[in-house]
Amino acid sequence: MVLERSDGRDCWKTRRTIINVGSIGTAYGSALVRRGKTTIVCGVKGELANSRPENPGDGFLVVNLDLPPLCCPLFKPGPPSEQSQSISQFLNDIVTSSGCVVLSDLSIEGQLVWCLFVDIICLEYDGNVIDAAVLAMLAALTNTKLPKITVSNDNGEIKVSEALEILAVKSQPVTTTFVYQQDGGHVMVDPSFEEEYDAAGILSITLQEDGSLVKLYKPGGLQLPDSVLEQCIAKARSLSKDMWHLLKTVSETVET
Amino acid sequence: MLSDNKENETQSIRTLSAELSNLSRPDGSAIVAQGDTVVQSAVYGPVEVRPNKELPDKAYFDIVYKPLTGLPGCPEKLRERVIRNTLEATLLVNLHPRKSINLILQEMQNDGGLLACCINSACMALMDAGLAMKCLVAALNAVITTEGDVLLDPSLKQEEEAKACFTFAFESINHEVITSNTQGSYSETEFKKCLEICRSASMKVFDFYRECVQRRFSKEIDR
Repeated sequence: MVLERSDGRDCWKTRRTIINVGSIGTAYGSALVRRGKTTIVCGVKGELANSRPENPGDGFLVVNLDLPPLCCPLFKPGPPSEQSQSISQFLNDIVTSSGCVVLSDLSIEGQLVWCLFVDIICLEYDGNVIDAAVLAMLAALTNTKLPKITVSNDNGEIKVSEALEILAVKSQPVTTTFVYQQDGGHVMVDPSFEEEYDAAGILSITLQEDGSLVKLYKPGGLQLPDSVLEQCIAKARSLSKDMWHLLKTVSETVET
Repeated sequence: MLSDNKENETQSIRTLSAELSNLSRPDGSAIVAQGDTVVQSAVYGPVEVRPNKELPDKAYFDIVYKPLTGLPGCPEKLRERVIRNTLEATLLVNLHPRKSINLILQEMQNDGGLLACCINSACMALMDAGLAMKCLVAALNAVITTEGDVLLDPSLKQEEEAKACFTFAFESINHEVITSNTQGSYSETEFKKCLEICRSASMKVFDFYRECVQRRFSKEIDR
């Protein structure tokens, strides 16, 4: 029996992905990602800060995901929900695990470092926010240009120049999320809101371009046989290629 | 209650020790130590549910994770979510509709493998509370060192120095993966190697569960 998804998609087919970078002029870097109806906006802002004494010269990169009541009726106003906090942590883990931004690259001079805030807001929640948020974060970081800072030797005065420097992004982690409805059966990639809501389990696989894994995140749910796990990793590999191609095309069109 | 202790061997787990029902007020409680990592957990349930949390077809499974110091932040929330989803999959929540099952975890000491210890402690507390479960879970922690060796159940220092760190939870029937969380970058073969090492070590944890429960009940018969 061939399983038909509610939107007519094949089990192993993702929805259409659209990336738009640099659309927010007030941020140092920004991106808007649409995955089907799921819409994510990401902006990178920088502040000058002093590095911690235990890691001198290391900057800060703080990723934060917001799921406002606007994006889905399930979310209520108030302090960040457990879901948004755990996705924020997931994104922070990906940055540290993949080393896509090296914290020592954010150093300016002596104690002075950049503290980058990567703020991600979900505008429309139609499932699979994780994949879209990782993509938005990566596209925004790749798009980030920081002003050149100079500290004068005489009086320690900080000067912000007009010249912009591109932030070095070392690797490109891409996440592919799967859901399954029962013990290892009916695996579907890129779940919609309904599919995610009814799922028996969820699995997110993050890969880097060199083929290494960065995170294999399966927060509970029904058990998954190893064969299905392997199948999902292989599928994630082929699907991630499209995303890297997309990211490459996007960055090329911006530069020219 | 001790399991075999071979600390110098890389493929063995640290000493496991546990005490069941060490608290008098909760319906089930357990304090579990994996080496120097200690987690206390307590279960109340099935109890009255808050009206806004009431579910018509199953019990609401609530979990509170208390860190050693300070307020719970993003890492604690992620841990809380992973623990809840892991154990909710094993609990027969449909047996108690319109009720609530509350699990409280208190971190006592952290020397690596905290998430794994939390899951094991929570599973023992649920077992102690006598709640119906379809299987048990055993969680294991392993790292890949910078030399590329697999180290099972590392200490906090070894965890921080490692190239990649893995936490897996397995169910007790077919020993399939329920939970997986990783840090750092690694290859697929390294992942599979760690998975297999953790899977075989999970048998020791299941044996330990059995031993704990046996000892606890044999004591009561003796009296």
